[in-house]
Amino acid sequence: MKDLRNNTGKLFISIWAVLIKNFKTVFRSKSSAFTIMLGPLIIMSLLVLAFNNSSFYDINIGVYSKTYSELSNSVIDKIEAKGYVVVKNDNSTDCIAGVKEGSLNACLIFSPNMQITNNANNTIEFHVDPARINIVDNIMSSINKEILKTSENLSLSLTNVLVTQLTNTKDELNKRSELLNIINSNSNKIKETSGSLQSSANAIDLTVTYDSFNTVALRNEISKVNSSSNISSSDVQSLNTKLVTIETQINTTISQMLAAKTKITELSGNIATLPIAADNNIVQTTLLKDSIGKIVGNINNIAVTNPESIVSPIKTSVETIETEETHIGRFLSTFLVLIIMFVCVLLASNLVLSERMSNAYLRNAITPTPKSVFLIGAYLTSLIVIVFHLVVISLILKLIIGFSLETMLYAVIPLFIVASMFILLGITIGYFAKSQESASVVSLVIIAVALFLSNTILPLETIPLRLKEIILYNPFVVSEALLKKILILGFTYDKVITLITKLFIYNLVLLVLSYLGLKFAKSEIKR
Amino acid sequence: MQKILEVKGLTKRYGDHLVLDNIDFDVDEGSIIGVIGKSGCGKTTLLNTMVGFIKPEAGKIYYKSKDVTKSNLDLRKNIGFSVQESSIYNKLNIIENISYFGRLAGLSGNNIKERTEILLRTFGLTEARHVLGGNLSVGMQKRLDIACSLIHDPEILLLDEPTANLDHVMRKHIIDLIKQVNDSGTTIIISSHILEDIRTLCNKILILNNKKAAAFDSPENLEVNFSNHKLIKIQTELQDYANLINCLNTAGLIKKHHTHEDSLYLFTKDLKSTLKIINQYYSNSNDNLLNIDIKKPSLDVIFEHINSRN
Repeated sequence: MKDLRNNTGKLFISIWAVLIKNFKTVFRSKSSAFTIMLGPLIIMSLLVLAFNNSSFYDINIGVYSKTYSELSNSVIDKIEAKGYVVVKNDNSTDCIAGVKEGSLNACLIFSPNMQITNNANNTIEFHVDPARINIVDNIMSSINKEILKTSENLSLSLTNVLVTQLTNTKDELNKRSELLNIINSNSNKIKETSGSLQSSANAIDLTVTYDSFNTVALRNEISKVNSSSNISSSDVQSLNTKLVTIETQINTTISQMLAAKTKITELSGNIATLPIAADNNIVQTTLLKDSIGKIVGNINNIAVTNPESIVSPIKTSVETIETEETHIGRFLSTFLVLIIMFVCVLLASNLVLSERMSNAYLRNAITPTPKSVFLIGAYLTSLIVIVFHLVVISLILKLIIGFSLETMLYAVIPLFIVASMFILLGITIGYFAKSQESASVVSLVIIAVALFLSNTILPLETIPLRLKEIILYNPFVVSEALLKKILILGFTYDKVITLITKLFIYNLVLLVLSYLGLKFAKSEIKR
Repeated sequence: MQKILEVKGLTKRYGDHLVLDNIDFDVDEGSIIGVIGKSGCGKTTLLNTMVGFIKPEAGKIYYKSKDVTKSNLDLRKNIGFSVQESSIYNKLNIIENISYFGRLAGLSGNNIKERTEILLRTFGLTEARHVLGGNLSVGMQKRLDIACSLIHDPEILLLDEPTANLDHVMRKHIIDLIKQVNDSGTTIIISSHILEDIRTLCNKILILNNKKAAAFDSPENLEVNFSNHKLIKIQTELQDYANLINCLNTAGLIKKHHTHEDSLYLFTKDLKSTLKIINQYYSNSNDNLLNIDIKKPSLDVIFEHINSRN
């Protein structure tokens, strides 16, 4: 027991000695001290200062139109108002060439004489360099937003006119459908009046017979009178003449009455057609009224009559899930993993290889100290350095963008796992590399591959699915995702347990590899 | 005297290249053993194998009769090793270098302080104790290197070319220090190509040649073994010695011979008969004898002769 305590004590003393030696050898070399300690901090400070905003600077947008119109100019004005530098080109070729050469970030070609008319071809062509996909997406989205605004305003005013006209028509139809009722009522009146007229006409009795005047009796009386009285023949003659005249007049009247009766019959027949026509009118006006009712009903049934709702039935609004809206907030996890990766891989590999290249390596190797002490020493040295970096970075973030120190503290375990993994990677490289140069090259190649096969340079969505599945195991991608979820999105540990497990497995694999490296590594001193 | 270290049948190869072939020797406690041989003959490989830095293909190493070939923790606790290029950290000062290796050796803080002071005084480094290793002269670096090897007061000290690249004064100083260390009871194994140093220091000399231990004996014995021979050095005008060697071999007069820089070296026990045949040969030959020299072989000559066997 005493021996065990003694040996453990000696082990800790050895680790402490290696740690102190590592720090002294690293920090007594001005260049390495500067590179390792100040380099990443300066980079982080510059990143924070540079990206602590949400704007894009010095973005040149080329525009061209054969004939600029009020509409195209309004779009251009909006792009300018957004802070982009608009460069008008003399032709489309120059504009596109500008994008190819890199002097323009995007080229917009407007249709000639854009205006709001029927059959107008109002198109805006975007020419962009897909190689700069990240910036292009941002610019396109920003410009598109402005163009959509203009387009929306135009649609709104046009729809406004349509909706107003429709409402006016509905009101007019409602108003005029009352007239149809009046027409119907009038038709009914005509129908009723024509009936009574026909009855009245039918009721007119113009039947007159000649016999009813009984002129024969009158003539007999006259004859009687003539025979009994001394009435001159002339008087009789005159009376007869007058009687003939009366008879003639009676006959004429009878003829006239017959003619009148015929006319009345004819009139009655005509009057009889009036109710039919009136009925027909009533049917037609009823149909018309129904149609108007349907039209009004259809107009009323238009649920959305608000022009804004018609123009944009669905309103989109993009709300960021991040609490920080500046670039530094968005890319904080990427920057942190980058710094951890660079510092840990380069420092750890450099520490191990410097030791192996050192003349003192052989003396270290033949001391009774276990070899693992040197591995632990390199690990702890790198860990202390990165912890220092993270503390300073946290303070910088707190001071400049007000980033919460509590959030940083909450991320201590993920940060430790990530740092540990990259330190072990650096140690493995250090033990397997044959020279300082090869260690640096291998470290940089690994860092570059990790960067390229991540979301940092190209969106993962642009990578084929099969490769993407592999890339999702990229330690850089896993670390970035973990830190983003913890630091930016506020996830709790239980929701990122898969990522933590993945990194833990990487740590174990790299620990085994670094131990194998330690076991088989030889001094590179030429003897 | 007790044997502190024994090497038996030690063989080492790098791929197909055989470096050490069946090396046997043993080291008495408190002695100084010198290892000599041509450059690249495997001296450093032998020392590295002995400390366990390189694993041998075959053979055994015994430390105080205990096999330490595979597990040599006991040996590592009691051995100090100073290689040709000083094994120190250039960015640590003298005290830091010594203390660092003291801690790795498992010494306590007080022990380290005490030993450091002794070593600083012994090696004359007291004044420069705060100077960084990289800022020391080559001689001081070598002294610091040996001091680091001795921080844990080892029983055995291995020195690989300790006087290489040093001027005469510094070389003498280092030799004196080695003697001083040995006087305190430390067994020393030293490899060097400076034979004068080896002759001055060593109780026994191991001569490596053609991957093998060509000789292992005290300097005196080596010289005695060769002293009943005389060394004849001949130089002729045409420098064609083949027929002469044939004549001498036929007569059975020479034990060994070799040529070096226009001259023929002959080791013979019968000086008189050999000189007679040489005279007869050149009196009948069209070649002219320019120079003839007769001497007792020194360590240099013995070393040169052994190396020329190939």
